[in-house]
Amino acid sequence: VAQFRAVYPDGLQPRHIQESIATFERSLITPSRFDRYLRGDSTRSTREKQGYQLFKNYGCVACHQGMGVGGNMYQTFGVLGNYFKDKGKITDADLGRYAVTKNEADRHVFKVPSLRNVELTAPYFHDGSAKTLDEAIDVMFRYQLGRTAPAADKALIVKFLKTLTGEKGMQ
Amino acid sequence: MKTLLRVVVFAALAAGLWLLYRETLGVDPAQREQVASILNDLRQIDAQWDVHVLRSKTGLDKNYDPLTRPQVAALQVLESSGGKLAAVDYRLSDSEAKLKEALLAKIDLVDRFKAQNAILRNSLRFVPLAAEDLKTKARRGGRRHAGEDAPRWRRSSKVSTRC
Repeated sequence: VAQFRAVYPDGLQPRHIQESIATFERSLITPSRFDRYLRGDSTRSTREKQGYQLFKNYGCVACHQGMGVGGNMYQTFGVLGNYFKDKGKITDADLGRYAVTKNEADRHVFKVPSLRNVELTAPYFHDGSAKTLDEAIDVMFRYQLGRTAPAADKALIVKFLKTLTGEKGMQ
Repeated sequence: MKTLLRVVVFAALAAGLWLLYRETLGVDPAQREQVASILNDLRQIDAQWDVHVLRSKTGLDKNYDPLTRPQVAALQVLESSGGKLAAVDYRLSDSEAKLKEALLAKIDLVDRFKAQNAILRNSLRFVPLAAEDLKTKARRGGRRHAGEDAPRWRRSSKVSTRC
């Protein structure tokens, strides 16, 4: 508490606690090889660059964009196909934002996740139904983009996604 | 008679001025300044927010990060102002609640815009390329040619990006 008062003279206030936690969380950045590439470092392999190009050309980047490569918007899960009908048994978790807002327009709407460190965060989706990046990409192509991805393109996109993995100690 | 009329008019004006002066005593200038400052901050954040909505709509903003920041800023201003409007005048507590309601409604609308705009831009980007592929296939009368059968949107490197 004494240390806290040294920074915030009026002591433990909810807003100060909120601000200090937010400041700490902002320091938890994990810069990746992709960030180095964006800053002009061209050490990425040709296949990783091709994967990034496909990621953009296929339209994944319409939702997975910005500093977090996602994480700044909501989107319906199943824009071009009914994921939940095909999945079968619906659980409360499948309702998405509707569970909070009770607004029919929010049914099956979820926050678009950031793809940073995505290689390390399996299983994927709100229900953990995709065990690998390959499976997750298949689902995204089918239900969000209304297409199927050739195996070679998927492999390249996976290569790109792995460049989003943070490296300890990197600035 | 004229003098009496002048006196009456003067008295009425003086009474009016005195009433106005009394009204001003009921408002603390510091508090009023604080409320004006909160409202100015909200107006400025709202204007910047609108600018970024338009920039996203026209494709000038390549991602939605700039649309997220004003939302957080507006909520912070409103949270930190909690009760200050009502402290100046109890009638403002209703207005404060309405302001918060309007802000939450705007956040909801902007979120819907982002979701729908992402789909729209993706679709618009894909339509001409898909149409060209269909035309090519029609011209070739269904004959397959390995190199050229790959859809253009896969081969093209000119497709705009949003990352």
